Amino acid sequence: MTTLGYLLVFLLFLVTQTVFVPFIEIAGVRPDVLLIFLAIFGMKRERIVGTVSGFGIGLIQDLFTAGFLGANALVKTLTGFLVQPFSSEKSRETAVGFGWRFFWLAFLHDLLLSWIFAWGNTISVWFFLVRFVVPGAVYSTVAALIVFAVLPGSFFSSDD
Amino acid sequence: MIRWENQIHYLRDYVILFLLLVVSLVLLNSNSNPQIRWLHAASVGLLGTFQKSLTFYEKYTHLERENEHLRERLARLSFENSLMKEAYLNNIHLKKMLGFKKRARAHLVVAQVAGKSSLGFARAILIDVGTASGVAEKMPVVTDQGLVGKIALAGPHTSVVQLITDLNFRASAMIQRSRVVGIFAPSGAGKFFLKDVPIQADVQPGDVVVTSGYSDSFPKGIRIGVVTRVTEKKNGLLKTIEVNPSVKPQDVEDVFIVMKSRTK
Repeated sequence: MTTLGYLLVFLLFLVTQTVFVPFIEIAGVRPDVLLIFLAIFGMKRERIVGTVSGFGIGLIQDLFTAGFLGANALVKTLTGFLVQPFSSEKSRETAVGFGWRFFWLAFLHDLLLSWIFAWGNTISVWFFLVRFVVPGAVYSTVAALIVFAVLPGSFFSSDD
Repeated sequence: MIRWENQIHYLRDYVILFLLLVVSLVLLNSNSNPQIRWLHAASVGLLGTFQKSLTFYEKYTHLERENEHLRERLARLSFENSLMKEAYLNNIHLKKMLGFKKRARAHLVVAQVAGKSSLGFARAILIDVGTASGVAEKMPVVTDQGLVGKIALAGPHTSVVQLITDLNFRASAMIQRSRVVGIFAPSGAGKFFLKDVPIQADVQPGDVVVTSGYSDSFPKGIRIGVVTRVTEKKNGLLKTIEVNPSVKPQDVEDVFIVMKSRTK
């Protein structure tokens, strides 16, 4: 897949995240489709590509959401750096394998992001794990599996 | 030689990670910088314009305008009524100051919700008015029912409202009947509390909670909600006061920004 192709897919994901995802919110929990893009893009590439992409994607997400500017950039930079160990060595990825690895990546991402937003608040770790982190990771994983089923297989294979 | 190349390659990844994390932390630390806030407000405003174009209630402009006008009137009357009630209660408390009559009027600006934003614990809405209409950061946002939130970011034609449901939202509040003061804050689990109220304070279920006027953001007397439960821990120093907000911020379509409160 070409760089232009990835850019177009990214724009599609960005519009989906900022415009359409608010309509599918369940009890304050939304899937992070830009995280799905980062995971798919970063898993099959060099670590540095994942890290830089994570920073760029996070910064754009920060600019278009009302949270703290820099929060997503920070968390997605780390996620982009950590995405490679979550990638599969197999040439043909299965939905279950991809979903399982993506869940743990989303869990780490949501844990860090919630921690930043909850900074200074006296909230128990269990509360925000149960109320936000786990449901958020599950919802993002469901969305990731839908993306996995819809996008062509070439999107999930290495360009190297 | 190849080993050295591998090591440089390995280190490069960590150096880039370190640099990007530093940049992110600097950005996080610059959220109060005016230029950064302007950039953030402008980009969120751009999104708000896009989101608004997707809504189709603009077709019904005539009905919408009439409805807007009536709602604005209702909100103004409700707000003035609330302030008058405050003034009345103040007069009872300040009997020795008879002859001093205080009356407050609020200048409200109507706004439509252009989009919603939530991320982690952050809860916000985008509205279609900004600095061009005189809106500024920290201004209270209300409906005819009560407090919705406050302006967190103000762009030229759009603004971001931090909702009362946002985990980092705080408002100095008081019990209207007994004048007991506390801090209104959400729990993050859909519950709201009036915090820091001493155990001996006079608070009953059914008491109305209003803004106290002790902060820069909110004038006195904006209705927040009603006390639903008061509990006390054995040997505790503070009451646990649960408040049911008058407004469900996620359902609002039109809001009003309290521009200023003048007394005469």
